[in-house]
Amino acid sequence: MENPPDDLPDLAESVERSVLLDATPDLVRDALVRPDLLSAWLGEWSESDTGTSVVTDDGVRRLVERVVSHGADTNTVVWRWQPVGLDGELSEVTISITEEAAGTRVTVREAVLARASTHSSASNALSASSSAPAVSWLPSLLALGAVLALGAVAAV
Amino acid sequence: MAADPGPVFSALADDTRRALLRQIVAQGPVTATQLTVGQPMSRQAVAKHLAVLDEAGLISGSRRGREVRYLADPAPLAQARSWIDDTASAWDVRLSRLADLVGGAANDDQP
Repeated sequence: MENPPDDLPDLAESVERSVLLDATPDLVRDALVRPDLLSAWLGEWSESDTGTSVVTDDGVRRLVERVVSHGADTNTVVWRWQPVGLDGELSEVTISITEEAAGTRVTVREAVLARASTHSSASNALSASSSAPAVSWLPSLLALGAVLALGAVAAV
Repeated sequence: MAADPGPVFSALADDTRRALLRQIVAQGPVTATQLTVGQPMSRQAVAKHLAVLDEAGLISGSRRGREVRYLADPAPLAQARSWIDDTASAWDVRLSRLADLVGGAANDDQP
């Protein structure tokens, strides 16, 4: 097979953001799991018998399924979420905290989950997501998109 | 909110499909038979990968006689890009609020 053009740098696996906080790890852990504190920074967080949801800044209510609440090292929280009533993305959020000399680092990674097929409801997707693999590539798309866009312009 | 990028990400999670898409971008309209040349897999296997790319909207096929020629489509990539940008911006805002909640951000020498 002819080698493909080397115009697609490796894409990051997911969106990742990090911040160093002037706070103790214990305080940060609380902010990641306590509903009242989650509501203060993430969005209106509610837990009931019917499930967990959060209303984020964009006004979208998302169903949340906790996958890991405090990992074995108590420094990792993982959940999957998806907008309710929209054919939106199902993604997995992994938040880890690391103690550093200057504070506590919080690193968030969010990745779209691959799905076998489209779905009709968020709850179905969440319940069906346990075996869905996380996206394990990502970045080379952007360069590819640029290449295609240039091609489209050239075609005009 | 950006359209669901899941099918795009799912389609491109596979090395072979990414290679095929690159090849289609590089060669323009191309048939499954042409894509199979030099490949360590059958035309049927290539066709299955093309079907996944097609379902994700990353390529489209047009029939000419007995052959279907495939062309890449940039639109789904733009949707994926939009999801990446929107998600990154949203977390920047959320983490800023988290910092305000717990006492502020510390000096961060990390690049």
